[in-house]
Amino acid sequence: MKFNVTRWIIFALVAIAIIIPVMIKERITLPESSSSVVKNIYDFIEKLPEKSPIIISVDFDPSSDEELRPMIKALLRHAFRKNLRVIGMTIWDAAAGGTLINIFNEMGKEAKKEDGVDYAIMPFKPGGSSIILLLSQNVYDAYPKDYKNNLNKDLPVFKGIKTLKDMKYAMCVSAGQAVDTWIIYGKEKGKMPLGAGCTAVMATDYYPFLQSKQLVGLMGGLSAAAQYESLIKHKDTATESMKPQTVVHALIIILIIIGNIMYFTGKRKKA
Amino acid sequence: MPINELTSGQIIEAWLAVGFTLMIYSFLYKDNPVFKLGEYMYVGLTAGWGLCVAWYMVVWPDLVSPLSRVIGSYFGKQLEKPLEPHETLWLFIPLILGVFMLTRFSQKIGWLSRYTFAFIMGAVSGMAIPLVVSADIFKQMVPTLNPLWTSADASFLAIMNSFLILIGVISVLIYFFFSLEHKGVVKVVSKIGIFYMMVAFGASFGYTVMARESLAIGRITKLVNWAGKEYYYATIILFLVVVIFIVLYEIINRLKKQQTPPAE
Amino acid sequence: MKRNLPLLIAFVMGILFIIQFFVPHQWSQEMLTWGNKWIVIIGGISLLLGISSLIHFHYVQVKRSVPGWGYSLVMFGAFIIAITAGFLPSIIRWFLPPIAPDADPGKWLGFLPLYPGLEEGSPLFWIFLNGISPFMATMFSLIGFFIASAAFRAFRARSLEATLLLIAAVIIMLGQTPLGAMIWEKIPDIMVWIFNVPNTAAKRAILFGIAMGSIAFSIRIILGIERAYLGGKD
Repeated sequence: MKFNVTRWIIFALVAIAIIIPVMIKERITLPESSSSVVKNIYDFIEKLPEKSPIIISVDFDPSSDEELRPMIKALLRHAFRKNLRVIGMTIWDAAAGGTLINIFNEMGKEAKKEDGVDYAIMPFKPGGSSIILLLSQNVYDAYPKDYKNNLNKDLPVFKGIKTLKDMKYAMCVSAGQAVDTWIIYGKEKGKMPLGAGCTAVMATDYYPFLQSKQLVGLMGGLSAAAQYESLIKHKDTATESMKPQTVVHALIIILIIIGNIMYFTGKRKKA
Repeated sequence: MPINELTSGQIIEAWLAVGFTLMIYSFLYKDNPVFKLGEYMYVGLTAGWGLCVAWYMVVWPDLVSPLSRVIGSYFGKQLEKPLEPHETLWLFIPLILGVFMLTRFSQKIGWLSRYTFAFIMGAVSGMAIPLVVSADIFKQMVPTLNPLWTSADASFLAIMNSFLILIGVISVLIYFFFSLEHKGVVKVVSKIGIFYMMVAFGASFGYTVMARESLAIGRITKLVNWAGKEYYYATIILFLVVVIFIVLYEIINRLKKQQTPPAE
Repeated sequence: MKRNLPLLIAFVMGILFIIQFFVPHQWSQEMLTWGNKWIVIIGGISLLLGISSLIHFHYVQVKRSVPGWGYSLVMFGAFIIAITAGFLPSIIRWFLPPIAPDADPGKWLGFLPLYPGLEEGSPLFWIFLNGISPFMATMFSLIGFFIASAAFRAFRARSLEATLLLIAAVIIMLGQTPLGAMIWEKIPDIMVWIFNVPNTAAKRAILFGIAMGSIAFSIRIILGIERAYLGGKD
């Protein structure tokens, strides 16, 4: 019973640590942490000429939505502002197809961009690496039609694109192994510049690929999304969420300290 | 009279989302029927969604529709421009392999599914080997060995870091080299490898905390928004409903326990 | 026939696709394209396999009245709602005369703004946004609470190794938020150094291990040493 009560107290503390900062509506200006690996992605997109085709792989489902949606939103805002042609796809499981359609339509509407002209949404296809290999051979073999059943060959957004090599930039935002798949199959076969976004859980795994230049840049978790939002000067949910995030991190560090004090005093008593 | 700009549809959606969210959060108290109900609804809806995705995004456009030259004649409707005959023929191979796979549950003809798995596993393995060697081994070796010959233009700190990475990679690899007995020099080096790994795992843990909390923050932020007047206090009312339900459930459970003495 | 032929298929496919990598000829490229097209289609059918096994499991639960079988009925209810929402508009549309080409496809029933299939605005998509999304998002956000409790109970500086892990974790937690720079301006720099040097080194060595392992596994499959995926006894 005692075990459960301590747990409930901690759960309640976490909830309070989130709810109170969320309810304080005033924007508290906190110093922003900056990381060059996020800025590399921003700089790369910033330098692309107008109408350059880029491909964004939305490889997460609603379970990681709160963490990764802000990333895609910021990326799309940036790409649409730069008038790039954006192709959206997914190699993640079936539910990711819904997330992809939802985000692209939302951002397309916001930027007043036209589906089929400025952006296109590909349907979900299973078989991860196979889809990327198909893209590297011929885009229209992988995706003959968009998710609304329009022939991709006829869409203005696909003008001049034949394979992955024609893409000026590819970005995979993933909650699973999709970034690895993109590095192994997409980057090796397509040779296009590749960037990655991922949940913070996996972010440390991709640092070796930054040093080897297999990745242009990396966005790991909410703090990276918040940084991208401030780079494009359009603050949104990620920036907002950093307020409770800071408080919760402080809480967890305090919990770790208390836990260790209890551990060492208990040990001394036993001795 | 509406209090705000929200449509009734948006309000219903918010109430549904709040209800589903709180059903799952009731697990924080402990496993209970409300959570289970939510869990099974979630599984059912997701399975239904998956089935429709498989049909609308793959089976229909890639298989059924192109084969319409054959299938269409049964319906008396030409579904779309038919493929060239040789392309249609090619599609029968994945169709047959796919049907073979569906025999997996049969005791008698389940072995047919092995052809499908053998095809996929063989092909995927063959495609992977050269690319994994190139991407994960060769391309990763280059920057590891870099400082040994091209560091003239780099700063002292950068060179130091490059050497530290080289030492780290080697020592972690030696730690995982279990064919060598970990004694003497090998023991010292593998200990250094452990230190590197601990720092890396610590970094992963710190990042993991951020990831998990950001998901909770996202949900709770939405719950706070939905608690407002414009949503007719959805969060507050449904929270009370869930609490009352759990209290009743606990009371009934205790009464039941009192009535049936423990069997010994 | 039951065992040797599948092993031969795996061997032939594996060798073919390894050789394919080194041959730039058009036929070789065509083979890669067709091989992958088939894998995608089989993958689509395999989605059905996963769902059919789920349905079978819950069907057995209900049939045998296993404790908690009522929940399996709930699952069936939700499943039927989802597939009805997914297929009904298309089925109705199948029997209706085709709409005018310039008409809004969402208004094909005149009064019901329902798009068929998976388009945004279809009933199934509504279920995705308002049913599946909150469930999925909340399910995974539960861990946010449990990780705090785990950090309190298990994160102890018991040894030098554990202390290193703890210090690195705390620096990252501080450095990711503005808190780090507020306490000491060097914390973000230390965090970046941890990511770029010790983390990169350790993760690269682990990556080598994983890559070697996956290559070895692939070779075992091609050579027929690894047979677990075939299942069955004979």
